[in-house]
Amino acid sequence: MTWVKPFIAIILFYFSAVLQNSFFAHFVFLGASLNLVFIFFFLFVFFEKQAEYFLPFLYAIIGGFFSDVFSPVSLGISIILFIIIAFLIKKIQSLLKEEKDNYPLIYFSPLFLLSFASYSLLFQAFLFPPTFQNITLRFDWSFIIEIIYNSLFAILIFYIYKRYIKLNDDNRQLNLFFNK
Amino acid sequence: MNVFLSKRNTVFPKILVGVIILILIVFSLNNFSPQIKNYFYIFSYPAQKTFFTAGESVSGILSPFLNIFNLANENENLKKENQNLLSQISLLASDKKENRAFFDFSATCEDKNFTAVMVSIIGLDGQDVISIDKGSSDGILENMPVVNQQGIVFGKIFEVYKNFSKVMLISNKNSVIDVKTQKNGEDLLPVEINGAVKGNGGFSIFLDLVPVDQELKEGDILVTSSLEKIFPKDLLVGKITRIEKNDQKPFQQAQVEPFFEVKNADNLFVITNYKQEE
Repeated sequence: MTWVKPFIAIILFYFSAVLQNSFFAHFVFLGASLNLVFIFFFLFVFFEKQAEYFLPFLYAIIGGFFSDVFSPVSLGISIILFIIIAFLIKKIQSLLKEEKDNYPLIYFSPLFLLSFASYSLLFQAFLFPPTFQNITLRFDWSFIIEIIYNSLFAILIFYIYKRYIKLNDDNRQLNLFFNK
Repeated sequence: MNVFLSKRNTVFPKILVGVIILILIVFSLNNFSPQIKNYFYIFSYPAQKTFFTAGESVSGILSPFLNIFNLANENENLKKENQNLLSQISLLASDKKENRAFFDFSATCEDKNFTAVMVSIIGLDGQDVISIDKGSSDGILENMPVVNQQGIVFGKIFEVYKNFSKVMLISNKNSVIDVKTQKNGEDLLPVEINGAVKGNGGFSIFLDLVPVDQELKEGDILVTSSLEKIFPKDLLVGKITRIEKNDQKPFQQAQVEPFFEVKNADNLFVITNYKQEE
């Protein structure tokens, strides 16, 4: 059943990319737009088992690909950035203290803020023409607003995911364990 | 220790091979980048167009609620704008020369021998870049100007695929266009002031590189000056809303309210045969 998650990821990332470029294009606040692909990519990686590296790597390739297809950069830029971010998230998660709840908001929020800000800045460097100085253009109010806007949306989806999807997933695993 | 070293020795080559494979994949992807992107845009076009229209309707319904705090300011601004427009109407009626910037695009095309391709917006890629539904198969090339029916500048083509293109809006942070102030009938000796409109991101623009000794006024209309050889002259760009002058700096800047509006733009035109006279 390991193919189910990547398959869902392909569908979800594709429609997220289409939606963020069409429907959510009308919901730009003070220059800040929504990056749905990144939000879903982050959630998928964050909620994956701590020792699991293969699936986050796969999510990074799928998410990065769709992000690049619908953006004005060369194919591959987001794939590389997503892979680095996925690796760092899993590494940081493995360093964090093991608790009963492995996925608290107190871990999620700063990790998301840090990852999103890093991605936005590095992605900016590859925009026309690609120079590292492009990053300096990103430092303005719209950057902060964009981080807050995306974080709020991410937290909302985080709760939905944790409340409904993760809970059901865990229950199913428990049932399988007990039925064994 | 030996176990650790041997494990480390196997991990490093694996990572190295992985990185090399990844770099190769990325490079090979870039060779087919236009074809891949074009394929996905063709495949996604119906859904993207539907969602774009749906988003337009939803944002139209929600905008009064979202902008509720700005209503008082907006009302005040509209009153002022209305007064300005009334005075402009009387000026335009008295002097036909002044209305040349407010032209009908089709008439101008005929007049200036421009040919244009009508396009629709199918998406916004963030970073002030929009996607349109025509590409190289419709005769579109890089750096062609994109305007609307009223001759308002939106931007220029900067990426072309077979069936669609990407337009860099003038509000993109990498966009710079040469502009001049529109001659005003109120002035006895009208003087054109030249400058550059730069993108500020988030659909906002500002005027720069205007010498401090030049007298800018709030409400001045900016039009293209065609110095950069991409845009035809006298296309509408925006209106000066606030002047930022500092005698210690050689140039003054000004906040500009752009005329273009992505949300309400149904059809745009790509001028396909504009060539600057040498």
